[in-house]
Amino acid sequence: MADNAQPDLAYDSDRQQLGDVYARALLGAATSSDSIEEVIAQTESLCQDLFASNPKLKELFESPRISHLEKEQMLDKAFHGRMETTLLNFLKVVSRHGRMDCLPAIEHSLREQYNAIHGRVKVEVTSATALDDETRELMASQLSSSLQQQVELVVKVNPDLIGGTIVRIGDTVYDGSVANRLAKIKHETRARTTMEFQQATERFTSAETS
Amino acid sequence: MKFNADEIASVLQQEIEQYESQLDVREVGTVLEVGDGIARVYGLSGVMASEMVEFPSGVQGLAFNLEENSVGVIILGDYLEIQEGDEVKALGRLLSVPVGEAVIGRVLDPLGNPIDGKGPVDTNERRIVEAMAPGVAARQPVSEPLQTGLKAVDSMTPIGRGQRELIIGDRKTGKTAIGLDTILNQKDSGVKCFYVAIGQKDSSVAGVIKILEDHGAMDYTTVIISGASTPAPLQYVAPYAGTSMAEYFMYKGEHALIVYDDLSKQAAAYRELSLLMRRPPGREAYPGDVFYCHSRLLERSAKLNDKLGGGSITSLPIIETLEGEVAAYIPTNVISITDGQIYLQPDLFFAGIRPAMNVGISVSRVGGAAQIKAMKNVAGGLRLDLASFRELEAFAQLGTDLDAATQGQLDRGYRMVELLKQSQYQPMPVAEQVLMIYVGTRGYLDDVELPDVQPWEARFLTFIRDHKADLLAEIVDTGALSDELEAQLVAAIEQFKSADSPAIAAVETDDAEQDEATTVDDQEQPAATEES
Repeated sequence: MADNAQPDLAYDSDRQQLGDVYARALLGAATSSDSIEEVIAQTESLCQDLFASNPKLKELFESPRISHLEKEQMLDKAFHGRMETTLLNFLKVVSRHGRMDCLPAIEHSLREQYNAIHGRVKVEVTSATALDDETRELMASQLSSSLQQQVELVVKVNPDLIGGTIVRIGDTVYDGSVANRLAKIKHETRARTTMEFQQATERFTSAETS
Repeated sequence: MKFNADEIASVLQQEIEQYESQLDVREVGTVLEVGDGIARVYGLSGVMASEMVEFPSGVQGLAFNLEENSVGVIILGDYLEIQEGDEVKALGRLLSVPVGEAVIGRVLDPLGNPIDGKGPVDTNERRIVEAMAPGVAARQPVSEPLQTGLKAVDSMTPIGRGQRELIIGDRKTGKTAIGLDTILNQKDSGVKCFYVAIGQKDSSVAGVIKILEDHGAMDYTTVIISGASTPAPLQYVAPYAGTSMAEYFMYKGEHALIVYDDLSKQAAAYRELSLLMRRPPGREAYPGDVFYCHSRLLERSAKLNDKLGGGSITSLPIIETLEGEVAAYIPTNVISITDGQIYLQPDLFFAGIRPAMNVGISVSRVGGAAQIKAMKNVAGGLRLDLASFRELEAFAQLGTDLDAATQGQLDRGYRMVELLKQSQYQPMPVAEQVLMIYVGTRGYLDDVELPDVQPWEARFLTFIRDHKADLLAEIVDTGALSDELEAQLVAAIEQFKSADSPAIAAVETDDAEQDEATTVDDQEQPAATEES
């Protein structure tokens, strides 16, 4: 639980809503200039590599004290020629609207929307032990055929499961872990035993009073 | 007693053998924020309004707000164990509570969990908490009386089975006392009683339970508690849960009585939830649907038609006003929903008139249909008489000389007021009520000194019970006051009056008012002006 909770903590529903809108616009612009894959990869790199290692840079772009003109110049100096023009223009637009703080949300939404358009789906698989490549591929192909969509597998390991796997597609969880089954058996047995006790107390006690 | 290990093991073994490995499919979301009894959840994309959800700690909640990007959940239990990032699971069902004969005599929380330490509630039946009220075709007009055992109520604002009668008044005016007396009076009537305590001090609820136990009323009563310290979601759910338990009996063709003590606290809990959920505030910061919150609750009190068994739920919602302000938002709402109200006033209460009912503005919209014939007969003009007496009394205070007729009317009024006083926890059978009101309205008390009215009443009733029990029996049997019966009654009164001396009976009513009087100290002074 703890490890997959981390990214969700940054979730902000208001920013995400804006992020969805900007991401849709960027996808549209990138499609018409045929540079979708490149744009997505660069956005991810921007957020995950650059901003993550230089939080000051991120603050700088988000700061309302620095004027749009200055930010524009900085963007040009830093990225011109090294970045897809579509993405650079997009960053300038975002900066002009004062929405640089939504960049992580945009990045998050970009991948999702791209996957949705191309019939791809992200599936999170958690298992007790690390899966070997063969199993992974088998799983991906099985899931792809049953979902009729291309599957992007995200694999996690959680020894607490004891055995089996948990597959999460969107908001639906298919839990086949041993830990869950044990918990269920425990719950059901307990409920059943209490019921039996209530129905026939004398059945469980012998008559002798020693 | 010894446990039989083999038997227990065999049950467990059966359970394991029958256990089929099934893939557990669930819909999940993630807690974004949590606090004050609510949680905001991301995900749960397929969850439906009012669907139950479960947190990892086992605490359950209700999907309350479905928004574009998140789901607002009200938490029914301890929200302190829930953390940001926790996985929330949709359960795919609605909130329900255990119902059946097993809940009778128990003290439960709003989810139906026992809190009286008497073991689990032994029933397999459950009813959903937010059940729909019966429709028009399923009902019939209220006709059967529900006796409260209070002279003032049964004579002037009679309550019928299936009626909703509001009890309204400032704090410490005896609102709960009326509800309690009504429950005590259902002892042999077969009516199942439910007392829902919402947002009250746990000490006062403990007091109520003690009184119910002492009077043997717990044999047919269920107490549902969500005290002042329970989170707002539980306080909001409590009256619906109580009603579901009562509905079980209504749909079985039996009769139930439910006292909501009090709905102003429930409205405050609902306001708290709604504001935390960022629903727009309206008048007095209550949300726009606070009217619906109460109307859908009170609509569930009904008298079913004979095809459905003719069962009923009678409800006595209680509303606390501030400084007698009945025009506030919640009081006007509930007044307009209910079929009448009993209005209690602090100045009457402190003047020793208990129950402190203001006769002028207390009404019952079902009226005479919910009275036995004899009572209708004797108490017909009582309400108007008392109202005109109040007017006269105010006029007489100016100190003008009065003619004999007016003085007579005043004296009669004073005696009626005295007669309608009643001690707490001493509900009176309806036949005796008929007798006393007959005595009062026909002027047989006019020659009794004012302070002697209550002792006289006690002596007279002892006399009737001892010597003329057949009179009472006949009123109960026929329900009417025939000319012949009336003649016998007059004869009995004359016989008593000729033999009466103050020493005959031990006084049984005088210890009445001290129960509530102890709390007078911390009250503000009642308004000195006389209200008509």
